Amino acid sequence: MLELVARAIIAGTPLLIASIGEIYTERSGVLNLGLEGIFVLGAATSFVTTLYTGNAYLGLLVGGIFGAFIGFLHGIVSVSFRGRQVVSGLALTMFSYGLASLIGKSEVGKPLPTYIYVGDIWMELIAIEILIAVAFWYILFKLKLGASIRSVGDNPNAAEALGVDVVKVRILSTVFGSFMGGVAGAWYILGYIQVWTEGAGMGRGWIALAIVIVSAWNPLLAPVFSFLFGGIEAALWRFQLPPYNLDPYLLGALPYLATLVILFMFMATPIKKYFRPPASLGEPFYKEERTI
Amino acid sequence: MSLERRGYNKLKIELSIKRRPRELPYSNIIVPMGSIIISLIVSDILLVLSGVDPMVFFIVLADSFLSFSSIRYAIPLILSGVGLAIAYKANVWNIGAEGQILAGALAASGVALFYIPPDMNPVTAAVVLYVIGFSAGAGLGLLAGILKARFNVNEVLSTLMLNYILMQIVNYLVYGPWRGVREYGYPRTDIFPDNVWLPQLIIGDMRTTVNIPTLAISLIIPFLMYFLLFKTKWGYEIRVVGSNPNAAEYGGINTGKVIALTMIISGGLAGIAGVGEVLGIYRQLIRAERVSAGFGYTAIIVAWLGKLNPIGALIAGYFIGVLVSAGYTLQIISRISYGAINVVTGILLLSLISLDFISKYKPIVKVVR
Repeated sequence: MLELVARAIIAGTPLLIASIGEIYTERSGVLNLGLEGIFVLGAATSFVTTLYTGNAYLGLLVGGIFGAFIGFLHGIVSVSFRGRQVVSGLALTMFSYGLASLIGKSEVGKPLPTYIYVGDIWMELIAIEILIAVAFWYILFKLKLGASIRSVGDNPNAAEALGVDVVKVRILSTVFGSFMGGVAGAWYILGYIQVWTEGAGMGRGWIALAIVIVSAWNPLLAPVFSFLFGGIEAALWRFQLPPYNLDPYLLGALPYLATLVILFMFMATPIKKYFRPPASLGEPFYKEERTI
Repeated sequence: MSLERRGYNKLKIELSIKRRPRELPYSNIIVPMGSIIISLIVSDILLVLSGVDPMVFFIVLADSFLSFSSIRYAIPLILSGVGLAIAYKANVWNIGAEGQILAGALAASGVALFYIPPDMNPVTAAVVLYVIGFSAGAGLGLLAGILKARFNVNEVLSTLMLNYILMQIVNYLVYGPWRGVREYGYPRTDIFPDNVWLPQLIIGDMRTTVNIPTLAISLIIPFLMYFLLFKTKWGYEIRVVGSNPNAAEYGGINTGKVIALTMIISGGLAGIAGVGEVLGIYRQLIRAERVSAGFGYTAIIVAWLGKLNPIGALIAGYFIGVLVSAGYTLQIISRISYGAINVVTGILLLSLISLDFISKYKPIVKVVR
């Protein structure tokens, strides 16, 4: 049982990193569906970096930088150019999938020289992650920086009138969220599965996007759901083995089914009213059409 | 947006954006063409960086324009893309064509294997199986549509989750209960009885992978859907909900109905594409990754490249079919993985919406003190 908890924490860590980043992005009014691709790209780039440099922390950083680059593109296209956020995000996910496969293809399955081992210190890991979640909650809800981010996501016109540079805040929040997404993908490889195969990490970005919704765009709730999904993933392993011997494919559908059911439960029950998305999420900001 | 440059008099460069009174002329043609050119150039640069001869990409592409395999890939892309164009026109973000293709393939395979008597007339069998496939895809789409309309569950996420769920179910079946007894343990069902096979196009004595009935459907559907979208009351409602949801509400349009309708159409057409894949090409149900093969995601680009116009999607579907076919050839001759085709499609979609912006807005650079 304790081992299952430890596995849940370790599997949930990348989801937590990605969802906290995406909470900041969405709080600024930008929906980044590119997160899925960023996660996969972060995984591939960090793997190759670590393979060649032997430094796992450099791998984390490079994964984050590639993520930030994709996020910057999303910012330019969807914030500056007002392209539809859904389309831009999907395009970037496809692009990142392709880039990840170009970058990693020749290194498939090679053993990593080093990785981030957290198996023994999972209790410390929980504490650190909860502290991180609290810190991000504090920045978002108690500091002026967080107030600017939230104002831009709720009412960009009012924020602009009060002197906030809407475009800048939105792009920076997107870049930050994507950096976290890249780090998350990197952590997924370096701290969790420790080997890269083509398509490693696919699907995790979508789950992180769902975690953002059921956490009500609040970093404090993100650990709860990240560890829950981490737990489901850890349990899948267990149930494939005797005495359970459940079918791996049916089990594989479980995280996605759980996401769907949890989303449904939150939207179809009275809890819903606590889960209000940022008012301008997904809306482009038209500065020149402002009326004063 | 303002960029401050520290200079003697603190000159400020101001970038602002003005809506053009009308779109740039011919933007309907220039925008798709321009983005195709941009994506091809950027992709070629990336391919060169990964060690491919720069001309190889273009030679392969030119070859693919005349190959039947491009048409074979265009069929599912057109069917799914036209459906998605209808959904996106109503601002319904169905990302679930992948799962809906699988739903159609799964349902048609199940019925073909276990319920169609071997002496049934092939035409009747084909009609029955197309209807079954349409219903399965439409049903899956409608599920997400109801979740959206009744409970406001984000359809992007619900359709995505259903994609993964369907994929796992198909794999469970081909590895488990449906695995064929004559297939030497491979993860696939037995070959379907030959009265459900869809006839393939034969040129001279060369058999192509293009199956005639689904090709015919994919050529007719875009025109039918064009008519539906621009000449009927339903189509009018779809366009109003998409362009101005508030007006739709005051005008008494039932938004929930429009969401359900567009999900049924887009899901159903993807379902038909799935039927074509299993009955017209593989003639057995195989692993999910090979049945839908990413067509459901690529169809999103078809819809946008066609500017959300069903006839535009027909043309775009053929072009993307060429691209997919070229991607497979490239994989064989250059050891580049097929996944790399995503680079091209991703950049294509990005440049599409960026150029669309420039055709509608005019960037103005001003230097002020």
